[in-house]
Amino acid sequence: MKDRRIEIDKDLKPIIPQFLENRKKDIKEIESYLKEDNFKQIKIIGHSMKGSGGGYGFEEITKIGEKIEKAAKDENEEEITRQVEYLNIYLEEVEVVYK
Amino acid sequence: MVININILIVDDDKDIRLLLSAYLKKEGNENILFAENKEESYKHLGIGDFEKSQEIDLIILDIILGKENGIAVCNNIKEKDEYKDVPIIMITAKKEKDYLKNAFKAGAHDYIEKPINKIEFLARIKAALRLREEMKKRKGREKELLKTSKKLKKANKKLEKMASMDGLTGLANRRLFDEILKKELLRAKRNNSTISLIMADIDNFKDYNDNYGHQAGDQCLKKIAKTIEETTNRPADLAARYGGEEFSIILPDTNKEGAIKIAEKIRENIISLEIEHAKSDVAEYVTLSLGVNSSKINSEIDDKRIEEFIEKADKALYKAKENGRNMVVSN
Repeated sequence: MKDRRIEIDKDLKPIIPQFLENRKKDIKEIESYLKEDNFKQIKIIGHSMKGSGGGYGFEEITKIGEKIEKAAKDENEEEITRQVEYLNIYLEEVEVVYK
Repeated sequence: MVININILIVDDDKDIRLLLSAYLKKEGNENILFAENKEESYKHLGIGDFEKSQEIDLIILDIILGKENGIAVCNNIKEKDEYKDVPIIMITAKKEKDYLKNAFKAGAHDYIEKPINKIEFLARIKAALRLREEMKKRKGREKELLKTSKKLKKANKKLEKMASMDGLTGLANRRLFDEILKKELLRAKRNNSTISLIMADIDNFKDYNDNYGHQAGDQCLKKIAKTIEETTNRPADLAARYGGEEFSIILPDTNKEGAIKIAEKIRENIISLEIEHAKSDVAEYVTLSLGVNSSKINSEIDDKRIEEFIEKADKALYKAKENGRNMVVSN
């Protein structure tokens, strides 16, 4: 397992919990969209994740978002599931240190 | 940072809106407004059917707003005059860089890339706010300049008026008389109308000065000027102080009969002032002799023609003096 300690600007301390909470919501939404084969919505979620993750200091979330976006475009259900599972683990294990 | 700065963040992603406002607030910008689409941003900006609720100093605008196009929004905002001087910073992802050219064309001032980098972001915000402040200052200075230039114009007008006014009597001076007479002669020629000129001179004024002193003489001149001014009260009439105790009155669109009437009225009004004049050989009060010239102008108006016109009135005045003063004579 990779080191999950992440250093984040202390200015962001008040909004980080909300951000991570929103990613958990993303997971639930993606799972339900998957059941409907609604790849379009999944793509949008991936795109936003890609856009915001790095800004908050979570490069990994940007990478996951990018992969989800691409997989949704390809309608690759398997890959989406894999990324969502990985995101889930990441969110469980990530440890934020404010600097 | 500047106080009372309003910043509008337009982004469809709530996480981005939160992130940007967290940084801005840390820098002391408390007044932050949010919009997640075109309509909401127009609501804040008072565009379309919406009324503006506050001044906006800086707009941070996502280049892609879900299905809507941030560049088109930028374009619409910049079309409004009041937002010409409000900087817009576009937010773009790396892959959207091709759109940037269009964003700048639409009036965007700068851009920041996703993922947002705090230092980069704040540096660009600071630069944009500095620009905004300078523009505001410039506008203020322009206003100040306009005010000064208006004041200057007013002062110039006053100066011009002063330069064409006789200092003692407040009537037009010789300079203005010459200018207006030429204008009116040209106009009379153009309109084929009759123009009249009255030359008037105070009778035995030298004796008056010798007897009562120059200060009394000045007072006398003032009273007479005032009476002449009041008696020639049509808009186009011009009463001037021609020389020492000599006055001239230009009467456009006035025939001989009318001019004589006015001259006679002046003469009566002067004697009615009852300014004591013990050394006068005409009356016990100050009196005026007046010469009237009325003519239609058929020849070219040049200096010679103008001189002639004045000379005729002068000759009539001379006759009035010769014939016993305190009277009106016409040519």
